[in-house]
Order: sequence, then C-alpha cells, then structure tokens
Amino acid sequence: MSRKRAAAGTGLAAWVDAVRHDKRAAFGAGVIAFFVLLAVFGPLLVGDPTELVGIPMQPPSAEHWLGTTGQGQDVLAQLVVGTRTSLLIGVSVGLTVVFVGALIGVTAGYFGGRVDAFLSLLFNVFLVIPGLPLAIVIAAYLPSGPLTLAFVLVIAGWAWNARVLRAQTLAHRNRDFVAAAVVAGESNWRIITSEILPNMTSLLVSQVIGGTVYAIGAQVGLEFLGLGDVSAVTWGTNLYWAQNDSALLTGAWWTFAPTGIAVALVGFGLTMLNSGFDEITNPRLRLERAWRSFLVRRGHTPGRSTPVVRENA
Amino acid sequence: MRYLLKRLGFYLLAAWVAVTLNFFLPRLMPGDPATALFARFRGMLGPEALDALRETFGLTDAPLIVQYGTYLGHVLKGDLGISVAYFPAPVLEVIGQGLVWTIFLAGTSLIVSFTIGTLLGVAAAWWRFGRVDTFVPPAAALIGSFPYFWLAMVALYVFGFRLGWFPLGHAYSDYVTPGFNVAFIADVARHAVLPVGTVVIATLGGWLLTMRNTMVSVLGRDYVNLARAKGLSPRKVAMRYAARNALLPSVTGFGMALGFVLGGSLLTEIVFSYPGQGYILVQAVRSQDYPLMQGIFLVITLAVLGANFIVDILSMWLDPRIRDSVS
Amino acid sequence: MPDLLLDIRDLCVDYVTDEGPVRAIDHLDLTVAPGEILGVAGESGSGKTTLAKAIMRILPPPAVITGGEILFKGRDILAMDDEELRKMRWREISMVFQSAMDALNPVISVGEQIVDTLLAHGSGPMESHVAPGGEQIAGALMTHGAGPAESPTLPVGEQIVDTLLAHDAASAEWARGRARKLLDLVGIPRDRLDSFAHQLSGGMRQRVGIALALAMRPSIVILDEPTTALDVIVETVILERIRELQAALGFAVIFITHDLARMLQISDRVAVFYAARLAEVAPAQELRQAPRHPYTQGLLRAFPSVKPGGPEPVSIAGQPASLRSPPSGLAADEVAAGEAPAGESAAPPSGAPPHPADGTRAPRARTS
Repeated sequence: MSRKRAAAGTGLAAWVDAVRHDKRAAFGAGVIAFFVLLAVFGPLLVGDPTELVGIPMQPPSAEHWLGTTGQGQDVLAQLVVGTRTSLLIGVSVGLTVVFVGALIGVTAGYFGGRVDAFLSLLFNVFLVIPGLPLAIVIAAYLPSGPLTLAFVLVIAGWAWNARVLRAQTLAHRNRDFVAAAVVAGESNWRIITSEILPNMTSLLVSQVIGGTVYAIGAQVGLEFLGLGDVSAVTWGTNLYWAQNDSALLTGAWWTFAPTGIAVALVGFGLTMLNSGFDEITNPRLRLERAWRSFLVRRGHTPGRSTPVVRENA
Repeated sequence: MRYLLKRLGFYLLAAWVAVTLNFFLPRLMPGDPATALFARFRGMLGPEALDALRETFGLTDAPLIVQYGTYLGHVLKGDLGISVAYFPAPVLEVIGQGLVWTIFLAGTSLIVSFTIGTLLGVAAAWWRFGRVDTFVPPAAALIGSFPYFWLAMVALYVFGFRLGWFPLGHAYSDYVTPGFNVAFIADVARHAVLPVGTVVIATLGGWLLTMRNTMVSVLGRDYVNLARAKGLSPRKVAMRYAARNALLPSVTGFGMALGFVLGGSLLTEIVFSYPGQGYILVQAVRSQDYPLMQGIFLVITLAVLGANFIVDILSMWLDPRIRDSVS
Repeated sequence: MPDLLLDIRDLCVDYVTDEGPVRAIDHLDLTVAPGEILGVAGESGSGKTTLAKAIMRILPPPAVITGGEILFKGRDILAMDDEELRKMRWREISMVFQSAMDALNPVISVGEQIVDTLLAHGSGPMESHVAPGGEQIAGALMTHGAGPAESPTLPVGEQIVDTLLAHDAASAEWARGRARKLLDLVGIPRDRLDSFAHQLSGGMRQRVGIALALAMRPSIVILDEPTTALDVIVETVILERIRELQAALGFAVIFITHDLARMLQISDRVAVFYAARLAEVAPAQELRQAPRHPYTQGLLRAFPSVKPGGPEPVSIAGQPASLRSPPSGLAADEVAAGEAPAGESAAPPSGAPPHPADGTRAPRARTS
C-alpha cells in the first residue's frame, strides 16, 4: 500500500521537480499554461469567429490584429476559438491512446504466452500500416466531426504506446516485488493496478504528453486535407481555408502563419516539458550535467579522458 | 535467412490485414455499402458498368465469405475498381501515375534527412555539451514541431512567391520533355528543392535526437571504454565502435517512422501541387472517391511494407546478432 | 629507469553528484614493481574498478581525479594530454574488463577488434620484456611482429616503395596474422577470428579479452575481476594460463577481485581496499598468516579453510561502508600504528554494521 503511494508520489513529485529545476521544463510548462488559459478564457474575449467582420484578406491592422481571412472573418478570433477545440481533441486523444496502449501492452506483457504473441502481432501490424492513409480511409466513411477525428487518431496511434508499455511491463514483471505478489496469491488485476501501473506513472505521464503532441499534429493534418468538419473552427480548418482561399498566391501570410506558430508552440512546449523531465528522472543525464558544471566552475573543459582537478586543500 | 522469411511472413500478414480492412470498412459503416461506395457514380455509369464495379468490390447478394473471396481475387489481379475523380480511369492506373513522384519525393527526403540527422546526432553526442549539442537539438525540435505542410506553405511563400527562387508547384515545367535528358532532370531537381527541403527540415530533428540519445548511452558502455583504453584514435572510437552500434535502433526505428514521414510527405505534396499520391488523395477526399482512397491506402501500405523489408535486410547486415537470432 | 613500474601517490578520485562530490578513492598510495603480481581485494563498490580505470584515465563521467600522482616509469599519467594517453594506453598498460560480454563490441568480429588495436599502434618493433624461459611464447608473438618493412630478403628501397604502395593492405594482413597468433596463445581455435562475441562461450570471450590485453605486449596488465562470471573450472584454467603467460612474458599484473582466497594463491603482494581507502598492503604470504587490519581478518575468516578441521567461515556482518560518510579510523597508517579500532562502532569486523542508523547500502561508487 505504502509502496503504491510512494511510487505515484515520486512520479508526480518528479514532474514538479522538473518544472522547478529545469529551464526547458519550466519553459514548456509556461507555454502550455498560456495556451490552456487561452483555450478556457480566450473565446469569452474575442467575438464570433465565423462572423464576417470586414473586407476579406486584409493584413493585420489596429481593428483586426491578425487581419482577416479570405471570407472576411477575424483571424485572431479564429485562432483563439480554434485553440479550445484543438487542445481538447489533442488531450483526449493523448489520454485515450495511452489508455488503449496500456490496456493491450500491459495485458500482453503481464500474461505472456499466447496472449502476448497475439497482442504483439496485433500492435506490430498496426505499427507498420501507415497511419495517415489508414486514418483517411476510415474517416472518409464516417460523418465528419471532432468525434470521428478523435476515433481515427486513436486507431492510427495506439500501437506505439502498446509496444513501449509491453516492454516496460515485461521489465517489471521480472522484478522481485511482483514475483512476491504472485507467490502471495494476489489477483492479477490487483498486481497490475497496484504493483505494476504505479511503477510506470512517470512513463505514462510522458506518454500522454507525447500522445497529445501526436494528436494535435495529426489532427491538423487531417483537417487540412478536408477530413474534419470544415464548418467548425479549429486550427486545422483554419489552415484548410487558408489553402482553399489561395492565401499563398495572394500573399496573405497572416491567414496561415499564426495558426502554424500556435501548433508549433504547443508541440514544442510539450516536448520541452518531456525532455526536461527526462533529464530530472534519468540519473545518468543528471550526473553528467552536475559533473560538467563541477568542472566548468573550476575552469576545466570536459575532455575525452578522466579529468584531473587538483584542489589546493 | 530464417529471419528474413519470418519477417516476410509478417509483412504478408500485415498486407492481408490491410486488404481485409479495406473489404470490411464499407460494410461496417451505417447504411448500404454499395450506396456509399458508388453514390458518386450515378449518372456516370450505365447499369452494366455499375454491376461490374459491384463485382469488383464483392458487393453481390452472395454470402459474405464468397463476397470476400471475389474481392480478394480482384485485388490479387490488381483490379481496384474505377476512379470517380479521374473517371473513367481505373484506380490502379491513376495511382501508378503518381507513385513514382511520391516515392521520389519521400525517398529522397528520407535518405537526405536520415543521413544529415544521424551525422548531426553523432556529432552532438560526441562533443557532448559542445556547440552543436547546445543549439542544434532544441532548434531541430522546434522546427519539427511545425506541421510539415505548414512549413511547406512558408517555404513556398518565401522562396517561391516572394523571392521567386523556385517554381510554385508541380514536378516539372510544361516546356521540358520528360525523359532521360539534362534539361528534364535539372528541371525536376529544381522543382524538388522546396518539397524535399521542407520534409528534410521537418524530419531532421527526429533522427538527430534519436541518434544523439542512443549514442550518448552507447558512449557509456564498456565496449566503448575498452576501445578508448586500447588507444584507438578518437575518430575510430566514435565512428566504428560507438556510432555503428548506436545506428541500430535508428535503423529499426526507420521502418516504423517510414509511415509517419510518408504521411507528412503526402501533405507536403498537396501544398506544392506535386503530382504524387498526396495530391491524388486530396482529389479523392474532395470528390468522395472511395475506390481511389482505398486503392491509395492499399498501395501506400504495400510500399511501406516493402520498404520495411529492405530495412530488415539492412539491419541484418549491420547486426550479426540478428543473423543468429532465429533458431 | 626507476625500480618501480607504477608509483601511485596520494591518489584521490571523486564522483560528482547533485549533493556534491563523493570520494571513491581517498589518498591512495600503491606501487607496482616490474613483473610482479599485485592483488587488489575488496568488496564490490569499494573502489577497485575505479582504481583500474583511473590508472588508464578512462573513468567515465561523473568521475573526477582530484589529487595525487600516478607515475608510470617516472612519468605522471595525470599530467598527460589525450594524445600522450592514447600512445601510453595498451602499449604500456592494458586491461581485461570485468565482463567480456559488455566489453567486446557486439557487432564487430573479435578478430577485427584485435586487428584494430594492432593497427592503432603501428607495426614497429616493440620493447621486449621477456623473462628467462619465456622465449618460446614471446617468439610466437614476435614472429610477423615486425611487419613487411623488416624483410631481410628485399632491398630497403623496394621495401619502402612496397610499404608506400600497399601499406594498408599489407599491415592489415600482418595484423590478422598476429591476431591469429594471439588467439593461439590464449587457447582459442584460429577459425574463431571471424566470430562475434555472442557466438563464443563466456570463457572464450574472456580469453579474447586476455588476448586483446596482450596484443601490444604491455608492461602492465590490469585484470578487473576477469573470472567473476565464469564457473570455477574455467576460472582455474584461465588463471593458470594468465600465470604462464605472465611468467613467460614478464609483464606485471594488477589483479582485482573480491575473491581473497583466489588472490592469495597467485599474487606476490596483496592490497586490501575498504571504503575507498587501502586497509592493508602486504606480501601475500604475510597477509595470509598475520593480517593486521581488522577488515582483512574478517575477510579471511569469511572463506572456508583449505585445511581439514579449520574454522568455519564467518560472514562479515553489516553493509559495505558508505562512501558518502566513510567510517573513521580505518586507514592503513592508523592500523599500522598499532591502534586497531576493533571496539569502535564504525569498525566492520564481525561487529556492528558501520552505519546501523541509516540502514541503507552505500551509494554505489561503481562505474559500470
């Protein structure tokens, strides 16, 4: 019992630690916090994004900070309102792919044998079938909308998580505390939920972050193709309309630039959060950094051979 | 050899899954599959032609298993139906026209980006905390966060539209004669710079970070320590004793990243009106051309599976442990 | 030339951590004479492997050498730059790593790994350290050893031209020939030259490691627990082979192990490590009969006696001492001064654990 709480605690505490001590993690957390606030409160501050408010294709001005679209809508309003939908789909898909991946990966890794053989084959097949074309053929048959998008993104994206989590489960499966629980006659379900999963907390969190990055990128791609609900306002449809209205050939950079930057900032912020966290939890990376600053502080350059630092003590 | 046979078996299975998925998708969706599939053909095809098309997709009154057999037979013969968007061209013919360009674009960008990214990754890990390691990985991660097609739009806007250095689209100009002549090849190369450059820039970071991280962990291994202790030159330690081993996970990852990169490459084609699968795909999506969409899915899947098999051969050649593994 | 091959003075090695440096080797003095076998014993984590890698200057981060000198033939290894180190490594001091499975590159054949070593140092004639009676084995190493440029049947000019024209191919061929001889020397069939590490048995891999270590005929070979992963029979055979080779070629050996009994069998002198310091250095004979340091006494008692009717083995209670807060009063000099701290709570022999309060094992000072 106490082990479970301790493990979960270390997982979350490590994240807090990462944000507090690692510049990259702090940057990532800041960017994400900004976009979350934008998604929650932003739509209250801007007007209706579908309303035709001015002359089409106007460059940024005092009235319309990011200009107007090919239809004459406000680009800023579209960007802000799009943030909400896109982040929502991104996070839900990120959570779902990890959930499905954990369900299948942990089952495969824990039970082994034929179950493992079958499930491994399943996710390996899904790993080699190219995701985008698969998502497109499925999405094409379904009514367009956020649910369809989320569904096809999960179908195309769960296999990677299953693979990683299966490997991790296998590693835990052979640890002493799991062996002890098996001998003690604990039920499989209990061992999985109270011995194995809590020990993977930090991996799961990092997978949710990675899954969200994937989902936002892939979602924007599918909508750009016209597979989303093109009447909805999301980052992807913004770009779809920009392309459709020949924004490029009329030089209306403001219709596509802001959305792309927003997508990249969110993705980059999440990636930085993950890599900062990796640095905190990976003892080797952390020690190497400490080693390096130890040398630099004493005026040495780290080289190929073990450094010699004579302290005049 | 046994290893390769085993992999081949796996790819055949994956191909079968893709084909089967293709067969069941229209049948799983609400409503009559034939109506969904052929709605767009109304008015284009006579009753007999429509019946032939039904036959191709196995949409008859026969039991499901017989329908499935009929469908498999047609797929094996390469009969994937008729395209709506490019009516009345057969699907396979439409795909065939674009396939060369897709393979050229995706293949070139993959090889270029893998090579540069991997070398940069080696450099970043070897000169740990050095200039390359400090600036390149975060920059590559930032650029890699942009959607491929958005980078394509920016590249097209800046270098094509504003500066006019490169053509605004298509694979070659109207005035050159396709064939093995200097003018044509030079023209194709000029048209390929922006699309290839975009995909390379967008994917570089992935290879770089993978290689850097594996290389950093390989550099801590005892066999690298021994190589240094043996008094080998730093170059030899880095390339022969560390980088070669660090490359193995990247090569394995190459197969899996292939599908992903291809997806991005397809979207990039759309921006540049590059006449490959991506461009055809968008036509298919816009005109709800289901036979064409399914055909593209199938062909791209087969191409990715084939490429994966080549990667398997390559990694078997690189890693003697794989050669001996299956027994 | 100084009498001592290796003279380590006041060596300190630290591992940098988030909470500051942790001392892994604390003011160590140790010498190695030409041709002697020096045993280094101690528990895992006591700093043995750290010492071995520090001598070669291949300790990976986060290790830092923070003081002292390592004089090899009078030159301080700690003052050498990368290129000087590269030339010194393997030509003068080589090493057999703890696990050959980890130390041999899995994707390069063992032959190529030997060839790489030979080519890295060129094919010029090498200094000879042949002990009396070892000419035969040494001869096996020296034939082909000179490379094509030394052929007595070709005019000098032609040899130079040949070398210039076909230097790489010729030297690679020479190196392969020599690699075969090295395999002979450690008792591995020559046709294993093209094998990979995973295709060899544990014993064979370790023999390859030894062949590699002898490739440049160094004056010191460091053996870092070379037989830990092997079964007793293979271990005995390999150690015997090492002794034979050592007797024939006359190199000095630093033999690191936690198996004190084994070490006493083959070493001339023995150094016992305890908590980053040397507890005791003495000739093997002397140490066996009259160990002075309480830790050594404990170690010796932990092994079953070879004599029938000897005392039962006694385990050393407690955990290995913490390097973060090392027990006081254990250094060799204090013991030598006759003030064995047997009654102190920090003393390890069959008494209380060094740190009963924290109950944790020492932070690992191991590098691998």
